[in-house]
Amino acid sequence: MNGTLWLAWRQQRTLVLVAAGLAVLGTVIAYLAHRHLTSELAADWMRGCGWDSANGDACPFQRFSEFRETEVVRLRAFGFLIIALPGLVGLFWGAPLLGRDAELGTSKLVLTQDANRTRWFVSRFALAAVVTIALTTLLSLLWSWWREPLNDKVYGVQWYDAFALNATGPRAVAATLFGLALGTAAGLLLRRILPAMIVTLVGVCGVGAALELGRRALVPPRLYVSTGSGPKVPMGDKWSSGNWGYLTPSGKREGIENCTYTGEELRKCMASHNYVQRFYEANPHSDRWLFQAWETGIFLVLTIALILLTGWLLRRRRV
Amino acid sequence: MSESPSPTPQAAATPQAAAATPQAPALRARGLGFRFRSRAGARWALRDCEFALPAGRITALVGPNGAGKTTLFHLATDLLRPTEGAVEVFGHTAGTPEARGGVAFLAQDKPLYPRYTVEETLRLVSRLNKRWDHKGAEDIVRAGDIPLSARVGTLSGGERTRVALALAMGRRPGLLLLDEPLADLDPLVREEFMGTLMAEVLDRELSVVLSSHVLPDIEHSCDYVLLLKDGHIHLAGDADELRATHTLIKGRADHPVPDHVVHARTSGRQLTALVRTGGSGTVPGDWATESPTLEDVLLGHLRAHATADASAAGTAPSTAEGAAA
Amino acid sequence: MIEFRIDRGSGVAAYLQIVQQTEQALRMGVLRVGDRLPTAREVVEATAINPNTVLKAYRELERAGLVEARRGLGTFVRRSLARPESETDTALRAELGDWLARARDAGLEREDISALFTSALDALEAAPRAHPPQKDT
Repeated sequence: MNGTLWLAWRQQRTLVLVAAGLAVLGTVIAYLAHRHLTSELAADWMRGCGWDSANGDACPFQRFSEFRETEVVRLRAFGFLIIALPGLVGLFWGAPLLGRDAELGTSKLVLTQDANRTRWFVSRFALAAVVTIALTTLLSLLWSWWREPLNDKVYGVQWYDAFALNATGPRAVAATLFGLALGTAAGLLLRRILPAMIVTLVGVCGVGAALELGRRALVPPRLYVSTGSGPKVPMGDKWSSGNWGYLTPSGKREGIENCTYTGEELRKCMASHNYVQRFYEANPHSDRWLFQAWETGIFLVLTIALILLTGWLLRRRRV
Repeated sequence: MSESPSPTPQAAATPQAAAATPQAPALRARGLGFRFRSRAGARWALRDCEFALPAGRITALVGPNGAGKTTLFHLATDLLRPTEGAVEVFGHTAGTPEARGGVAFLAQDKPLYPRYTVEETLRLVSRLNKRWDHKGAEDIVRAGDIPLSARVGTLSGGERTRVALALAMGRRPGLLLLDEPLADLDPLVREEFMGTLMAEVLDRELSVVLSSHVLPDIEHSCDYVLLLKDGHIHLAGDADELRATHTLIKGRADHPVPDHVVHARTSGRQLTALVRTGGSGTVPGDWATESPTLEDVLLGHLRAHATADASAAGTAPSTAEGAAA
Repeated sequence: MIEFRIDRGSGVAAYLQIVQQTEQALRMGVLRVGDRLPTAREVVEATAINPNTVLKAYRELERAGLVEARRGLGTFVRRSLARPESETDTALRAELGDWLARARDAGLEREDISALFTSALDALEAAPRAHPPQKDT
């Protein structure tokens, strides 16, 4: 094995083993949970229960709602682990990746051997990246597979739910890579692990929060309109922005609170306010890929920038 | 003890100087300069350094704290890049694969991974190098009675230094750079370490540059001297030659001071001075002369340069630091 | 075998110290013909002095015909400097003893006696060769 790669393995083997352990544990948990879920869905008591409408006596209400709640809690817990991966990887893998050698002074030992600093960095980062990408990919696939039978059936893990958006697809993988790159750059820049961890935590949480809040600025909700009191376009599995109401002839949007009626009264009310249409805003299910594309892109651009920064710091002999 | 000749082979019958190829100097600086940038602003740690250390020699790198000794080592090992000029190891610019392969560096803090065993540490470094003499490295460790299974973090300062030396020697370098290797060692371990180092020099074709504060330690170990002061080369040359071209004189302070005084000090009616004699060994005038040790020469030159600060911190009002060089 | 001690504080070159100590050992009979000198490596390891210094000292001893290097075996004593204790020595020693007793009676300390002896020895050595002493005392 190439020397720097061997050293990378020797120094990261604990982390690699932890990652492997998490992968195995996650697989087992997801497998058992999925098996339980499908068997429950096929169970006799479930037969009378529907997902959209209110259930009659054929469905044991108590049991059904408990079942739904438990499944959501379990899925969310597993999803939370995936969402936390960028932070965990950044703190415990990225920050010490180069930071430990800088802090211990052992960079002076490692960097004065035959192998040069580029190989030193590439080997280390590549090993960490490959393992964390594999882990994130596996866990997010497991999560999607587990969630599949409940897809858009229960509230709390719909495609637009923060857990589903953040813990699945290329976005989850890119976020982990970003955490790793941020931790690595911080460790090298600050040359101390603890401050680097703090910076990484702040950075990962900051970018995560910014995306959580600014997500819809990237992919704006679309406008759905129905004329007069005609039938509404069904909301279905769209992600509502919570913004709905009436339109004036000029296209001005007004809040729903002005006419909170149905049927004939609604029509009267609309006429008195000179409302001509009803509207709501929402992102359709197909927007999921737009969200994924945007956020993956943002994370990848940040990751590349951080890797370039790390390379520049290394070239400037900041070790 | 009149035993019959033992069959022990005598190590290295060939003298080092003859064995080393006369080609490129072990370490050479050409107009070398390095500028630190910090929050306090930029500062030249080294400037206009021009020297060539011959191969096969043991060079003492001497100078006060902050003179740029460590910076020089870091430049030679590509841990830093020169701001201007260049450093060469056996004719190869620092940082090139050839230069990397030729030089081993023992940093002052002897950085090692504390949680690795000695054996793992040796294996780690062996993996990072094309050429590796495992037996040679292990022998150095064993000679210090250090168990290979010991964790590095549990070793004493002397043992750590020995392990670090083993790591450096395992690479079979042509040039070994040691940054204050003796600084944190007790006198006994110091002597032992220097003994091991000198034996390595004898056994191999090895050039050494060693920085030290402890002048007596280098007295008979080093045969070449590089004196660094404020980032500039102040003195460079063969140790014996330096001893031979300097003389210590002692006499009455009211006598006219001879030419080429490096550093002079008067206490009461007596004047003591280090004089550069240029090989003749004689000083005109009524002086008692003495041949200086290398330490005397170095101290004289170090003090000569420190005149400005020394007069402020003079011990007695009569301590006039007359200096000319 | 002998062990060399290098005085780092003295201005005497280290190779010269080795030569002198070897000569002294030969003179005192500590080293005899056929004895092996420590290898350069042994000396270097024990004294931490520059290997070239040791090699130079051994070359010097060889040139003086006192030792010879046998390839692969070591360096061996060829010629002794020890003189059998003669009548003259005994007589001189007795006279010196008398003189020392007189010096002690005159109130001289050990250091005074030593200084007196050294300066007389220096004067004796300096006079016939007309060579000014380099060393001040």
